[in-house]
Amino acid sequence: MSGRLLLVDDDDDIRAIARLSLERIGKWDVEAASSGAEAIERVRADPGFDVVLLDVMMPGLDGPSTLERLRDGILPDAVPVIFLTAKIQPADRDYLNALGAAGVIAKPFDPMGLATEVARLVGRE
Amino acid sequence: MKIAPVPKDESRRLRALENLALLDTPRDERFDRITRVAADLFSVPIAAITLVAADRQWPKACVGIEAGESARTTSFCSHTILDETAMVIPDTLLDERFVDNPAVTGDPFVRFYAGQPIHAPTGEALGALCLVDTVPRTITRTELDRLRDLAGWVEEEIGREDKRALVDQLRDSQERIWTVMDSIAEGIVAFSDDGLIRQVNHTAERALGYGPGQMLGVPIGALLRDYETTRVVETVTPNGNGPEATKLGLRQRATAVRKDGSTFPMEVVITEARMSTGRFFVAIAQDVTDRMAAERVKDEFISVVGHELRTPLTAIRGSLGLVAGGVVGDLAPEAQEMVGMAIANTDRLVRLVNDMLDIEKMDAGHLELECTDVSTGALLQASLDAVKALADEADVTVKTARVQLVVHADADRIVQTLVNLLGNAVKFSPAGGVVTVSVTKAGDKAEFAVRDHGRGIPGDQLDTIFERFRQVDATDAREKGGTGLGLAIAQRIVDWHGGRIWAESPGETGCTMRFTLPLAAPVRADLQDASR
Repeated sequence: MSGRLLLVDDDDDIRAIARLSLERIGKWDVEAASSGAEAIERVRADPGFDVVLLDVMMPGLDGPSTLERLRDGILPDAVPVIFLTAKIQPADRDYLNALGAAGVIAKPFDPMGLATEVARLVGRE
Repeated sequence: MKIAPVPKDESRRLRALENLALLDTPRDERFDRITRVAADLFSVPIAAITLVAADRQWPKACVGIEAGESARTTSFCSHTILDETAMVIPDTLLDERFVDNPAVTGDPFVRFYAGQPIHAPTGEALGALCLVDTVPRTITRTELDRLRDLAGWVEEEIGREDKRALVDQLRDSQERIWTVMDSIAEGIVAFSDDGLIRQVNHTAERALGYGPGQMLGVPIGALLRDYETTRVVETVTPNGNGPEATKLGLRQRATAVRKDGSTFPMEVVITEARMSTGRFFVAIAQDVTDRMAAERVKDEFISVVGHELRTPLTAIRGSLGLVAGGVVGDLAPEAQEMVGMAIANTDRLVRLVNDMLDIEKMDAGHLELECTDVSTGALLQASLDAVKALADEADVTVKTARVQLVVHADADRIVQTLVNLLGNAVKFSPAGGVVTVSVTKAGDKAEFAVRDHGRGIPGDQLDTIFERFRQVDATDAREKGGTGLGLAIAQRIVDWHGGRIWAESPGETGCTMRFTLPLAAPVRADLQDASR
């Protein structure tokens, strides 16, 4: 299932790996942003994304703050946002879901299964 | 000479004498003047106030004779204390009890003796007020009455002495108790049934910003917030009387309010005590501001370390995964094998990081359990789903004996525990083997058991396998892909639930890992049973 996916992560290598995985295996049309601020700019310029994959711990605007800004009239509510996080405490997961995310994917992730996991979380299996 | 028999209440009498602490005390004008009055009033050369101790007679006061103790065996007054009324010997030479007494045959040559017993405030005879003459004489009824009056005076003085000693003792003991109380690092606040504070130590006054005595009468609610009274548990007390705790509170975090309204976090435990005057409560509290700050720093550190370790691992695992998956081109078979090894070890490293951070958090003492009433069936199913792939790969069948119980537990953590135990059981089972997981009711607990038919655990290692990095075989971590922390984590999780975990390995092969969890509140368990 293809569509436009916005990938937001401050780590260059992780961006490259996730992009490769999502493009080659999931056939997503991937655009990447290296910060929350850049993500907001891109969505403001063109809100036509089908899903946003958002890292939690980033310098400057972190994932939750970015989501809050995006939901403030920039990104349509219907567009699902999935958090990527290297914090895996169950309490963190609950907290992130409570912010209105479609799901949480833990780092490190299996790149061969990443696309499938994204598809599952946004109901596009 | 006849020795006086021992009074029936001798041991009580001696204890009363000892408690009054009069023996071997310095001369006291209060008693001396009574003997002077007695000698003058009765025109006798000798008058004395004697105390009869276990083996001697000791004069508390005397006139006409040098003060000195004498053996009880030859003591006149040891006869006097046998009776409630005065003992009068008009002529000692005519009395077989005393005719050969050394005080009769020698100095001071006693011929006449009249003694009125004197008593402790509690009633025991202590000794006598006695009159002695060196010539025989008689005593009139009126004189005996006066002698009794004087003995009464002696008793009054002893009583006054006793009260003063009691007050002193009480003050001393109070002072000792409160010196100890005040030096205790915890704040101690005692309050009565009506919630008003009746007693505090200095630590509590200082911590809450009150001056000495200012907290008395203040309602406890004014300085204690966020205290969950529902967490107070009843405990059974074996015997009924006396001051004793009848309810024991659980130690818990609450908020302390200072006199100026500012607050700080504290850990407090409140116990209920019963005294003859009614029941009261004792709160013992400790300021945990510093500890909480230290916990926050450690939490933050663990969180940052977790993130900093997982980020490069994500890149390593991700690139290896893409290479192994052929996404960036096909690999030669040998290269494929190498990359597979790299992936397996990266995965193990990730598990190790996760487990170590998990155990750190638990040992830091604040594992947050989200306990709900959850059915054992649901816990088993979630655990079986999680280990299915592993079991299929190892060609091991996992069987369950379904008993539906409802436990009060954190479902995620218990599934983690079960997956851990099941994972071990599968890993150590031979191909084609069977692992059984069951739940039974054991008293007020649910007992989980995971049984395998693997190589078992040597008897001397049944306890140590729960220690960190302690495996039966040192090569297990590498060969079985474990972290060496699984059982240590399982033990902590079960402990935090108030349960117990242990291993049994009776025979040559196989072992059973068992752990218990508290059942949900009985009422709800009954409802569950009834609805089924």
